[in-house]
Amino acid sequence: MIEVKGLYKEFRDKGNIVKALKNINITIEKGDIFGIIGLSGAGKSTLVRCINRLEEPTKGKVLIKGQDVMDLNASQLRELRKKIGMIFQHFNLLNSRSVAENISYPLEISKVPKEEREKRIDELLKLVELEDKKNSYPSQLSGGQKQRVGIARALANHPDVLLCDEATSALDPKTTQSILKLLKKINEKLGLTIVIITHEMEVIKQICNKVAVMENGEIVESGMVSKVFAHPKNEITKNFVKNIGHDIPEELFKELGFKKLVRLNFEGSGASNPILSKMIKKYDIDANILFGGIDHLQNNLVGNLIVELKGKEEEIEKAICFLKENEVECEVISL
Amino acid sequence: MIFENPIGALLLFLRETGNTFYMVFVSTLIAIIIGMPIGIILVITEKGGIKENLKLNKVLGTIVNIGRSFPFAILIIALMPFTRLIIGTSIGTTATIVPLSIAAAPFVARVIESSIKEVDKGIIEAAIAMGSTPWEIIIKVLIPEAMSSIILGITLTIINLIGYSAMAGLVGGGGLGNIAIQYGYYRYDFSLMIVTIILLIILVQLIQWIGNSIAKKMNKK
Repeated sequence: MIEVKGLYKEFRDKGNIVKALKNINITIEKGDIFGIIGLSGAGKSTLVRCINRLEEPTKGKVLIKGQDVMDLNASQLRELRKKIGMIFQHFNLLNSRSVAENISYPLEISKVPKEEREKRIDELLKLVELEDKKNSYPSQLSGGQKQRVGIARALANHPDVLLCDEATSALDPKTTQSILKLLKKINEKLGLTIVIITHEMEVIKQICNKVAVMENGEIVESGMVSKVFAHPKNEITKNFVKNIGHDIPEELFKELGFKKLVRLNFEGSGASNPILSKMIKKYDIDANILFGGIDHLQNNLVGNLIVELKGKEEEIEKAICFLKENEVECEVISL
Repeated sequence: MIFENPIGALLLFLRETGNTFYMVFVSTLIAIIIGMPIGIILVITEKGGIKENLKLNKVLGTIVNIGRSFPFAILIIALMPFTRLIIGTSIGTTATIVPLSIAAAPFVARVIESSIKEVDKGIIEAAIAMGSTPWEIIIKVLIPEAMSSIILGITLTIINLIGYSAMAGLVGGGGLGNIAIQYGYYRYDFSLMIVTIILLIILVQLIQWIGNSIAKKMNKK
């Protein structure tokens, strides 16, 4: 569906060259909800803007359905953009137009006849559950309602892809949930491919099936959400995982006087197998679970436990080896 | 004059109020027709605009600044040959419309430019992302979104032109301002001058009030 190959983007800022994107390679399949997570300034917004050429990449390819968007002329690019919906952090609705007129805009520029426009507007209002706000103006709507209008507007021309640029970052947690549910519904109902830019781990956890983690203009990790977050390799990814809530500051363990602490990450079958109890039976050690939890990431179980292991040093070593053999990631927390 | 010939005075005021309206509204219209496209071009050709063209932007900006530098009285005289060419005469009320329009056009251009610059960049980006042509962005996004602010700017232009139109007397034009100069100042008829000034105050208040109401109605923010 979307392939980004060797993409670079450089900005010139007062003579300095800022490298916003460095050798980005991603593949997004049809029907994916692809999350791109990173801290602000990581380059994720620039990356998503290169997909519809709101930003001109310095080097590289962006293929959409096999067509390199860099080869398109101005009018071909406009036609392509009509098939790529986009929603924004600050909604960017036309203030001078009512809800219905806002949704009408993309239809007008696609020269859809008036009767068809009316019909399509009603369909879309129903999809985003805003039938009663048809004639309201954006200033009369809440943030969540504005984003629903944004989504309806983005879907008007039956796009193949929906790009979401921090679409929930200006919303409160409850509204975020309802918008994410709506995106999921659209993805399932229309088979729409969705690309989501966010700095919120919750968003990725809730609806994405694939994720790319960005830092300093590079993708440091990517793949299925459950894989990436069950076995985070990079510091930044680990930080995002901590944000899901199954962690407490390591300093606290120090204060509590524990000796041998191990952080266990497991996923899928690992999460449903009683590996810990097998380990205790097999080796002469005790395991004291201090902290942890199991999460659902895209129908996949992902667990994260912090365990104190008590026993002889060599037994503990063997036990850790046993865990690793069973596809549990172990990290000894040095105190 | 008011006291010796009240009917004559009334007719004079009616006629000259009509002349003021005529001069001001026709020249505002022409100033908008000339100034609006220039204002729009100034915005879209600036750095980061939807049709960036810094050279054109600089040239137009300079022309606008030159136009705005001329004192109005000098402009009337400097434009006399041009006025004669298109109106057939360089004196009278209709002839005054030419310098009034030319004086107001660069002002309108700047007013439109600053109104359109206020339009949220995010909205323009959304319009681009939806596949709009630059023309569609101008017609369907920039102008409607800036409309409330444009109306206030045009109100400002009209009120400025009422002031300028008083100088029409220099070239034999009419209008309320001319009464104040001709009768009040030259003939020391202060009662006439005071009535004229009161009329002008009412006129300005009225126009400002109408402008504000329309702008408020247009503003959906």
